[in-house]
Amino acid sequence: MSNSETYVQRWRHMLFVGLVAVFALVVLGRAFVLQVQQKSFLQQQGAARQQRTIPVAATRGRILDRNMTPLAVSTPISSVWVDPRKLRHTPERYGELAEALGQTPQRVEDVISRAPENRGFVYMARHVDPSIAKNVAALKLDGVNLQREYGRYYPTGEVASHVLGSTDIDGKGIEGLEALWDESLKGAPGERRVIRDLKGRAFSEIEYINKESDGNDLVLSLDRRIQYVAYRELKRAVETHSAKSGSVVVMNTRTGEVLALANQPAFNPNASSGPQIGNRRNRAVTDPVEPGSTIKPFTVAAGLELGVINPESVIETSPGSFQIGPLRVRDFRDYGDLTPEGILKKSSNVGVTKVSLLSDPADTWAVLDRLGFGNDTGSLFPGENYGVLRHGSAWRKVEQATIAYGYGLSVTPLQLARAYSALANDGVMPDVTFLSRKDKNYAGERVLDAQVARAVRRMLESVVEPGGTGERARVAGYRVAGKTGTSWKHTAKGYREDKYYAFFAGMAPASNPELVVVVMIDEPSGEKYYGGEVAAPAFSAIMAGALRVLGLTMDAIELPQRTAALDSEKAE
Amino acid sequence: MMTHRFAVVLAWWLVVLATAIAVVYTRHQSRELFSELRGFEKKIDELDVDWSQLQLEYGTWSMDARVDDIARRDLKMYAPDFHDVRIIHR
Repeated sequence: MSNSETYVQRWRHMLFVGLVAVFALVVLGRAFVLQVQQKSFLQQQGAARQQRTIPVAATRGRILDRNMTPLAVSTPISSVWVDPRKLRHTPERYGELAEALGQTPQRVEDVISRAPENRGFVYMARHVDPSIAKNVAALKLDGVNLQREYGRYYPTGEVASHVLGSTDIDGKGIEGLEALWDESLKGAPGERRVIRDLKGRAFSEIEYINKESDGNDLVLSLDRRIQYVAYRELKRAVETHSAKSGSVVVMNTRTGEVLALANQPAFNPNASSGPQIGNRRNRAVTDPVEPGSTIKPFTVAAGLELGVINPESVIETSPGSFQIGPLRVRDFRDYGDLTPEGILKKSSNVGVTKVSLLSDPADTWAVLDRLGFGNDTGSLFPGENYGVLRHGSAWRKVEQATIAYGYGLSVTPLQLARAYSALANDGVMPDVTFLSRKDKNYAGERVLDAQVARAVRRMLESVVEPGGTGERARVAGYRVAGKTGTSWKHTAKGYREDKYYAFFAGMAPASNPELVVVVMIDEPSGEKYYGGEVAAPAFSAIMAGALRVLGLTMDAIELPQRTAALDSEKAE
Repeated sequence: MMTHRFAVVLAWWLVVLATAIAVVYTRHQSRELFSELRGFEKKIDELDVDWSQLQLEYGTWSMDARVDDIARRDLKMYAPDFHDVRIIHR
């Protein structure tokens, strides 16, 4: 009995110890697996259940004009997104949500029912008014969330629309300078780690993974005040003459900075795109046209540069027309004998053709090529067109003649403004830029002899004098030099004698030009269509406005000599 | 001998305890500071919002077209004719 008892007792004892040992081993083994073998996996899973990284949007940089006035600003704005999986539980509240959003309950229902079964994120409304966002937040509806985004606003509206371009709804630059400088403007979004509660709401942020860096501001060469004058006067000219479109470029002659650039028709960048697609093109940069008579100063400059004429040369233009092969070059009337100045003043096709025929086409081409025709302006503008200027070796006699007065080549208004800068700046031509130049000592490249540039400039002053074609381009108080142009439009049916481009390209103050302005009006359909009648008045108004804004010294008035008497008067 | 060894172990144990507490404390402090930082950042954010809104407002009120309109229509201003201008020579 006692023997068997002790036997049972010992057996029990051993069984108990054995079981405990097995349990201990199992627990230890499990602990080993969890703590050592699967440690990192489990930690990850744990973190994934309560921690989360959320992206933080960076603010897009501003676009400023040269005086730091904002032209494009990003401002925080809310978008409403919903989690249909949650929202489906409370269909009775769709009405409230719709009301807060200012939409029909039908649309809210549509958005939710169209979402796939397991989709947890659907935009309900993007870029809503702050007041709407507030109302939506006040509903405290489960599954309805606000997301911070940035909206892009252009305080100047359509005034500078073509230069600035636009962004898409996600804030990416898609047109104009917004697209060109997107990398610099957009900045880098950051990430933040947050701890979530059971409902998945972030309630505490623990750390940055990387801090967002905001985009850089972009300082443009534009001057908002001049831009407005250019916009207003161009619009007026296009409307007055029932034209199809128009462009204007205002450029600093030394730095190549574009102070203003406007096109008509324009578009409002604050409204989402719609029926305005064609209006969004920056015609002054993307649409080359045949420049007509505005090219003549360069033909004359080439003649002077190549030494085949001098400012006193006399060219016979009688009887006002001239035959080259199949082409008959005509003047408005018989101008008789003309000096180079007379040729430009009267805009004689015959005279300028004769000048061009004096030199080898390849040499003339080389001068025009240096002046940037058919070449990059350096502006980097998206979609810039370089125009067409065939190599001089390919010119036939007829081409040599027509190019002399602006047919058979095409240029953009921007290229034309740049080439006129060479005349304005004593033969040194700058690269075009839409950014404010930081380098104050910037100088362009010499493309014409200084004497030649000055001589042509003096000749161009005669164009705006009485009897010249460009009288209406005059600006009170300033000397102006410039050239009119009227060219036939080339259409699918050849040249149309009832469709024109009207130009005026010029500079002021002519004694030492600071500004070049090019005005191009496409298809003026009123009674007037000559460059001197349509484009020159717009030029005058824009140039006058720009000169006033910049406060440039008048060079067409007699200033009293500074004398001791005046000085003592001032001292009192 | 025995007491000496015990003292060393005790000392290390105390050091471990102290650093453990220090870790907890700095972690706590770091979170507290981070939350304070976030507070400031939220403030910056709000001010940024205000700033951008003010810029917009400034841009809108000072729109050249608007100023032009008010000057011409309401205030009856006009650009002086060249002949009405006296040029002062300094």
